[in-house]
Amino acid sequence: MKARHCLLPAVLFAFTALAQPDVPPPLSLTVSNQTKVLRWSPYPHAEAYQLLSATNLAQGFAPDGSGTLAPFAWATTNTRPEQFYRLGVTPLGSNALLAAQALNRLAYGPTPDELERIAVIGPDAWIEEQLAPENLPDTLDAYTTVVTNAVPGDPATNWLRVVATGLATGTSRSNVYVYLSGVGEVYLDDLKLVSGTSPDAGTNLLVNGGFEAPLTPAWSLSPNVAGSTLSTQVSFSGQASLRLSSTAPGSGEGSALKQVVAPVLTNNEVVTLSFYYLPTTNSRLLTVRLGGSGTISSGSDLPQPPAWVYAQATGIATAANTLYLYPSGAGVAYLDEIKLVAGSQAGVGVNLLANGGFETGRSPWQVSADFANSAVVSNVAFAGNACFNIVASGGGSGNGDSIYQTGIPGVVSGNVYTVSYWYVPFTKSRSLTVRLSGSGTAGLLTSTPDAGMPGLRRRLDTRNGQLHHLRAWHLQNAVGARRQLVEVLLQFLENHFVTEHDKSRNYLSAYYTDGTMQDVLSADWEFRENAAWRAALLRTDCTFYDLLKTSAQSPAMIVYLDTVNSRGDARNIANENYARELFELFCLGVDNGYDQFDIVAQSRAWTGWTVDLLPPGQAGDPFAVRSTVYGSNPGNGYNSVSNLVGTWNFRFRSDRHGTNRAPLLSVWSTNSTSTNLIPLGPKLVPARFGPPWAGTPYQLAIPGRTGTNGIQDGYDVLRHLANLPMTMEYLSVKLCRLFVHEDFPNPTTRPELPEYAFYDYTNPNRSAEAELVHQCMLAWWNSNPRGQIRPVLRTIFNSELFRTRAGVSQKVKTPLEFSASVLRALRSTNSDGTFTASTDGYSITGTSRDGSKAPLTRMGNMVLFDRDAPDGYPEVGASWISAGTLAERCRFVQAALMSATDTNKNDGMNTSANGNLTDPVALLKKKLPSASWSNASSVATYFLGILFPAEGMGNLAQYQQAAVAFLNTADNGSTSSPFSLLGTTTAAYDTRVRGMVAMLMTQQRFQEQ
Amino acid sequence: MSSPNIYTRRSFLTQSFKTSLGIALASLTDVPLVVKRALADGTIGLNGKKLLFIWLRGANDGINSLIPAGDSAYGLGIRPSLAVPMDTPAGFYTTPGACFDATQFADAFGTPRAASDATYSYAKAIPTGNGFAALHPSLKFLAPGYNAGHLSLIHRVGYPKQSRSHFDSQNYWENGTPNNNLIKDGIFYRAMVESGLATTNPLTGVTIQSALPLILRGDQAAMTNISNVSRYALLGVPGVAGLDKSENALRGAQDFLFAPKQSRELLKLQYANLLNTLPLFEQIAALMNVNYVDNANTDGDFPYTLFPNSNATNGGYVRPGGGTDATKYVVDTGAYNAAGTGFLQNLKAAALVLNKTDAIIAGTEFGGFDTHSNQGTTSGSHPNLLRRVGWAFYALRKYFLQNADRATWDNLVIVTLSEFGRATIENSDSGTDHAEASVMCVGGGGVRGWNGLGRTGVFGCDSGGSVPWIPGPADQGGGVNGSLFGVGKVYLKRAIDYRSVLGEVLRDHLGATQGQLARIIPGYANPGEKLLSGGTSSVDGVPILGELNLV
Repeated sequence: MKARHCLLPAVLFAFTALAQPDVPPPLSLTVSNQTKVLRWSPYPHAEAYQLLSATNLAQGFAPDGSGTLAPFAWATTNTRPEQFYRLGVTPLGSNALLAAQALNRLAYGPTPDELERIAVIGPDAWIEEQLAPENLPDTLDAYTTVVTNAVPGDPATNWLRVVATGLATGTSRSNVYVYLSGVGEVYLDDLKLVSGTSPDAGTNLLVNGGFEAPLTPAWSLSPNVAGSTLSTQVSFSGQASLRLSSTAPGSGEGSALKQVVAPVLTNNEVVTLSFYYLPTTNSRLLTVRLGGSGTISSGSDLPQPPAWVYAQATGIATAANTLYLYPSGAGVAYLDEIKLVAGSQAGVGVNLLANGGFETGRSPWQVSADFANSAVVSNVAFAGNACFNIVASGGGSGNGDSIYQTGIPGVVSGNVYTVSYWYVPFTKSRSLTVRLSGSGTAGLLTSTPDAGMPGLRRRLDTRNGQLHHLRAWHLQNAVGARRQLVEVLLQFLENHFVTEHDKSRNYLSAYYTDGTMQDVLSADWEFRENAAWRAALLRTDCTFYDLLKTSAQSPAMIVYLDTVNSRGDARNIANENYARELFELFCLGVDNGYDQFDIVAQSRAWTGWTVDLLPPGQAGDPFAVRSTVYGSNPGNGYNSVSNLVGTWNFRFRSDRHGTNRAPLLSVWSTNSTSTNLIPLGPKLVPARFGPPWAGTPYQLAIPGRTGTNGIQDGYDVLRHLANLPMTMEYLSVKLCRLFVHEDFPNPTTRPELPEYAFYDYTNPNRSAEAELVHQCMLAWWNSNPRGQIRPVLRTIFNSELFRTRAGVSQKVKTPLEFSASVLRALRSTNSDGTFTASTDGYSITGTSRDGSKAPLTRMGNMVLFDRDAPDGYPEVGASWISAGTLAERCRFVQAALMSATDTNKNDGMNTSANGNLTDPVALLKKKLPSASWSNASSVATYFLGILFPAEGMGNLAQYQQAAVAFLNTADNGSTSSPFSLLGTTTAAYDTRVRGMVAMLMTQQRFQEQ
Repeated sequence: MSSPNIYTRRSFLTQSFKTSLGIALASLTDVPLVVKRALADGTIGLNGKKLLFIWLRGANDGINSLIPAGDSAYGLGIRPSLAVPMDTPAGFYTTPGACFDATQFADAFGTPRAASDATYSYAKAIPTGNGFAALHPSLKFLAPGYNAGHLSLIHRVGYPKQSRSHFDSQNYWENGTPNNNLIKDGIFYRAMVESGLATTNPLTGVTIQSALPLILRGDQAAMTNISNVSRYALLGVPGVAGLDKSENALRGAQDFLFAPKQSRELLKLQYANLLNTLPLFEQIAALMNVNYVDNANTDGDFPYTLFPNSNATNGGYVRPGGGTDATKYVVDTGAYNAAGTGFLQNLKAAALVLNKTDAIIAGTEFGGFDTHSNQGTTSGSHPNLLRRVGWAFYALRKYFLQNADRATWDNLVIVTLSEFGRATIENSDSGTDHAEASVMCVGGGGVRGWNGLGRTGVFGCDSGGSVPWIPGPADQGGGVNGSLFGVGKVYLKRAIDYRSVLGEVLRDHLGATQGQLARIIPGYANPGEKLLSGGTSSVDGVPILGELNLV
């Protein structure tokens, strides 16, 4: 047989919708003895291959059954002298291809359940769901709270103390004024004024500061507080307190409760004022101060109203019928309406617990020593008249160290039960665990809401979260959230508008010696950025300006790029850092329409943009001055910032704002210097942009402004840059890199660079990439209000580049995408609410601020929210893939696939245990009929389908062979051990499947998306 | 496939994309296609010569590193809080001679150091002995190597049309082609390809850091990056029992066929590199636990650990007898970490790789040089970073002098890279903003440094030569701008191109031919750039010195 008798390049196409390779896969033929072997190159996304032959071309081709099909080869011993051969390819269906693409790019990888759902509803419907996230429930990220004023809390614990020390100066220095900032009521008790700095040493210079006696004569009441009375219902000490009731805001003389200290204080005497107060549901800012210029102002944040939180968990009971409750450490919490029911519906059915509402005293609940002070209380309740007040002197662990109820009737080992309860969480970082007794195996009913997702979110919401909490929350969302596109975009924004937690922390270290406090406040800045972007992305008309403004106002950014101390007053030279990156990284892109002099000119707009600790109620007021409100827990001394109450936020300081202005985005005289900018005229949008932009001037003149009006300079810059053609272009390029493929070069306005011609939108032969960017820009430009994100995303998702092989599987996952996708790939929801794969987040991002020993750090130093360079983490695969990082990726997969009891599973992480839990056997048993469980080929095929849904089974044949061989080999790698002979409930079976899945997930193809 | 540019070499792109870039990149067609040449010439990798590089990311303030002490304009006038103070002995900075060695002397009058002195107790600019330039006091550990004649300090290093973007400028330093972001392979990668060994030896170019840098990236051969030598192994499932099975299954699957995709060549190369190099690092991982120490009393004290990995091994922290003294740290505590991936741990691994394997180039990096605020004068963030630089050179010299195996000190050159310098004038935050030229350090036994016979180890920071440093403020004495105000009144203008420095090292040290060099550094192929001879660059008309006869 001679090669010319074969029709080598012939390929049969059996599909229509996809953009196809330009050249069909070549065939080669080798002949040895009587065997003919035909080989071909893989065809992209091939579901199946078939060999057809014809002896006579005129009669057409027919499937040839004379040979055997092997991966990318076909062998026959057919000895007929002449034969024409043709390769038939069944491509992956276009819907399946788009589904895989959507799940890889709009989400952190496919899950088995989502692959099934998207096959039903279709990929376009799924994409539309993701584009309207506000309509998607996201139970993962939500936690149920009920804010209720019916629960006043325990008066003894909610009294807050304020201490302030200062100088008494001026003629009215001995007048003490007490007033509210508006209409409202507050209780006040034990008001003391002493000489010196110690609130508890020395004589109280005030008469009747304990409000035990009637208000007259020492106290006098102005008309706006005339309704104030003594209360014997409520007091901090003694028998009564003052119920200060205000009908109008007070300010001092003539509008306050007043007492004149006698004899008068010495001028410039150091005195200390202290008091206890109890807010009401109608509280206003309370001020107690001395008259005169050396005033002492005090007050406090309104406390958070008590919030009842609902928690539930479903699981499987083991032998014992005892329910345990315990916190992770000392603290106080409230618990009510605890129910244990059979089945998976919380609260449905008979409550198996006795006295779950704590309406009949404590019995039959029992307490061990750490919780001996816990009691049923009747002044607080979620429902009914009482609840259980957990008072813990230490953490609990279960049997012998908990609050428990034993002998619960009707609990049957192996059955599914659901527990639910309402509780007021611990104020400190404590978690509450509620569980049925048992050995702690998977599926056991355990509820630890404070330690899980809702707890993390609540901790962050209440400014109690550290960086590692924020990261764990971010990862849990990446793995489990239904609003996957939102999560992908949030990471994109965090990375685009990059900030560095460590730099914030370093800045705050000037004010707080407490490292945890520095960490918490810095994490809060990151979290608030994130929360603002999240809220914006859930709006249908979210614009780039919204996102940009959030970043510019974020304390994290103001500190990160050094506007925080930038000054333009006097002879100060403004810091250029933010101005440069606003052009280069956040809006226009490097060398895309600005130059060094524009940076200098722009830098002056940001002078005076700083951060400060703003008083309660004024966190959103950039003109507020530093809080002078003292907290109740003095830190480093009375005049220390760490002793002040308020919120760190953006503050504009007009006294630092420069007036030295030049119009930015000008054409500059060559005689310009950084200190003497000489504008000659506006810059013009270059010709390559074409209509409607080319040739239009885009200079920005900032009017002369004085005082606080100077804040507008910065907003002028943001508004102007947000919708410049270059900004639309650069952001579109970055989104295309995120969603399509990485080879969209940076655009430029420098005509001598080849990228200029690449993005020449007037060139009718421009590439598909340039055209997609152009379409994105038009979608951006034509949206109303201009600059909306969703039309741009829709343009990308509807593009051929995104939907076809031109985009599919072209990218390498970042460490974040990789690690989340490992968990998602095996994550299916069980009927009892648990998952076949889950993460605690910490096991990916670590439990320390620096992320040391965390997989994301090891896979390329991807420390989330803490990037030191302002360009963000790269989107390019070559930046992430090296021998060392691949070794870590393999180790991550192998550790994640180990069973929870494997001694190697933790792999040196700094978590106590590896919380990346997978159960591939449970998954396959859910998804495959039991007849297939022992069939190596069926098991391999199932996992290939969920791990590599874009590849096409025809191209996975070699992986299939390797997986089957793996399943049929013992752990030593050499002894034959047929998979079909392993009992499907044995440890050997479990290990075999885990090893095979890990083997597939450590392959090259799983690095791709 | 015939158009020799970086994009069209790649097979995954659609035809339209290729066509468009073919037009777009026409101007690049003079860039030679390295990978298709015959690999017959040169001795890279065959002559025993090795190169170690340290990337100082974030743009090092060259002016506060190699201080123009002889320039009257340097001082509180332009740097009210950042000017490094000068010492006062008469002629201290202008007298030619050896570099003042603050590891030996406690003050400028030659008082010997005592064991009780804090390591950085000398806090004045350190004269290099060239009569003009001085070292930042944090660089005092450079002095022994300098005085041994094995260190050159090169000021005013840059390239034409200097970008003040970190990311562009780092790209240009790494891809060796200023103002071109489309070249996606690195200058050292190309040098390794020219060695002819890159596809046969498992190790040629190696970095020890979190990711493989562009300088060693390319799509025809895999360079190696390891982030943590001690963890460079697979786990297996379940654990050790299944390790061979897992690894063999992985090896067996590497040549499986798949349709071409953008990422697949990269993955194939790097997976192969992983599986080829896994066994090579077992010995190095073991040696990471060896505590190499100085062979002399360091800093007038006792012998220090060369590569500290804990506070207890950091300089003289733990005194003989067990006392502690944190003022004796040689580096800041951020230079190492518990995870084993700190700068000094990476540097140690890089040194071990060069010394124990066939690798030709090894490197690592550290960041933090983007000192826009609170830069620090003689203590603080920038001085701490400089301490790492000074100690790195000291430690490497001692390590290779005492432990030479496959790499001897005489066969080694160490270079630092940093993308640009910082403004001569400080900003309102006691920091410095992005600027132009900066400093490179080139050390090693093969470097021709100070010789006591008239040759100094300082270039670009003296008042002689064809591109002299011009002292003084702007417009003084007939309209001449002082060097500190060379561009825009706040930027240092380049006098030396980084490519001339690297080019000379690649040719005269590593063994590239001039023809190879023109392929490794395309600028050498253009005589108008004057990289070899010096002269006025045809690109921007700035006079440069050309090669400096460093090695």
